[in-house]
Amino acid sequence: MVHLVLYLKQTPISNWQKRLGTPAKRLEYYETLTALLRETDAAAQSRPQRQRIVEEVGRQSASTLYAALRKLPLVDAIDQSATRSRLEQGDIVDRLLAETQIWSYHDHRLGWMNGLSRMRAESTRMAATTLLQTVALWAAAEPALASSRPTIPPLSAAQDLCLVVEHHLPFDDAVALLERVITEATGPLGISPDAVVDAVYDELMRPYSRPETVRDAFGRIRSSLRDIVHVLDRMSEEEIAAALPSDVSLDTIRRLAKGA
Amino acid sequence: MASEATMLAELHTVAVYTADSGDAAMLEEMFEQARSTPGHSAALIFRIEYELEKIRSRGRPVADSAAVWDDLVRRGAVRLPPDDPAMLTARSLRAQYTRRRGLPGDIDRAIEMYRDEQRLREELFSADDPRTSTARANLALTIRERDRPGDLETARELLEREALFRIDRYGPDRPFTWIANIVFAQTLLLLADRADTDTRRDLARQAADLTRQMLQSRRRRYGDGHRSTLRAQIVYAHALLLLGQAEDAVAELREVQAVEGRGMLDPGWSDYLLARALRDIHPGRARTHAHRAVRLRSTSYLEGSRQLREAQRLVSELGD
Repeated sequence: MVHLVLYLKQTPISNWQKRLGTPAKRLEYYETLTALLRETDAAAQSRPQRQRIVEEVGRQSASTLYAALRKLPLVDAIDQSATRSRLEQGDIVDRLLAETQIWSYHDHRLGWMNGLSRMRAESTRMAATTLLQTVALWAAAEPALASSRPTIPPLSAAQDLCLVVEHHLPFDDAVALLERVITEATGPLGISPDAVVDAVYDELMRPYSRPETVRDAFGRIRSSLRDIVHVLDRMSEEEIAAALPSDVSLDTIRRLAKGA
Repeated sequence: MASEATMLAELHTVAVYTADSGDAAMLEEMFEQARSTPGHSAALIFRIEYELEKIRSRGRPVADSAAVWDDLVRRGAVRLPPDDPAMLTARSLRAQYTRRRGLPGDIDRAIEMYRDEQRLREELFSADDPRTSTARANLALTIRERDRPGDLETARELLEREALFRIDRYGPDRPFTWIANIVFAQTLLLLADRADTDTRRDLARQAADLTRQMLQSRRRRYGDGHRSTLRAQIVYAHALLLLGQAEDAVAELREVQAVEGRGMLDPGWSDYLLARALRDIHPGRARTHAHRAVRLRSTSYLEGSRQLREAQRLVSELGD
């Protein structure tokens, strides 16, 4: 799925990450927040206070944290949505948490894209289910970071999911779906990413089951069908019968190729 | 060099694709790359090898796979902790292939392996952990396959308890619950095969109701033609056969055969049931399928194994 991966490398959050490069000051805060969350009782799902984070980094005041996150703010890489408003209205720790999750999830995301690049077949369903699996793997590896309140998934993964299901999934719905993935992944069946995908599969399939998604899917195979019809039109009836599956008529293929 | 997290995410992604396609090439490539790059952990390399052998095991004789899993588990035990995720499943697969090999003593060895595994998982995790649950179901299935007096009844009891436990803990709509239901339904059918007419009908009816529902759920989750769906469909066909609905059973089995790819189902399973379903409708075709079941099973199972003997017995029952 090399083509899909090319697009995934150009999502707004991907581009934001590229522009950030290796942001030493931000990284200090990311690493500190991750370490503090790991120390926290996972069941409490609480997050450290701003002052605690600042002190752990070795600063006196929170101004350096504000300054670190002010340059190239993450919200600029997110379209208007309830999630974006939540981030804008949230406090500095909410924004730090969102960035830290993206940073923490990054290696998993790379692995997922490397896996997709190896696949010869194009399947958006497989791309979507493996994306959910990857988020589940990450959440199981970083349960404290993944499930700290307020729970949001790595927003890079939410943008990826929207791209994979070809914009038929609103960003806020992708966020909600991935929140469920994280809840499942940090629960008893979290040891199996497959089981996590199973738990949310019906929700994942909802945007695929819309008429416009099915119409688009047909649209994509139509030119191949036209090529097949073109060849079939040059064949004898016996040859056509031998070429087609027993219960599929040339007329059916012709109508699909025309977009009936 | 890619981080362990990156490699692991890549492996999981590729493994989904290979499980669907049965094509091991990508995993072979990953395994070679990981082995030739210094710095990767033993756990990661083992995990890739384990995924690769899982796919390879689908297409080679069971006895060869049993030897491979034996060797993998032995090597893994030296370097990895007992709760390493790949080690857990590798030990289960070693037991599964030992069971399926069918040499004298294999089934008892497999039962011991699963008993040990269940005990170990109870210690490592808890009795309620899904990994322990899996070991429990595997143990019950292996007791069923041993098939000594009382084994089928014991397996039925254990599997019913396991299915109810999963319904209670995870809900009835989880694929993890469905697995226990399907294995339980299959056990009812094996009991039905030997029961008197009335009991047979009751057991087969219960199995048919259960598998019809599972078949719908799996179609919805995985789609037609997926291994999990086909397994439910073939067990459903078996139930129909025992309910005396041979033609319906044949229709289901034909659908299975139309999409069944190599290594998706136990070799010869659909042919064996087709031969039984067709014996009164079309004895000639029944014989063809019975012979085919013997041929396919002989590519996977050793002479003298239960699977092969069962198909050979059917061939002789059907005559020439």
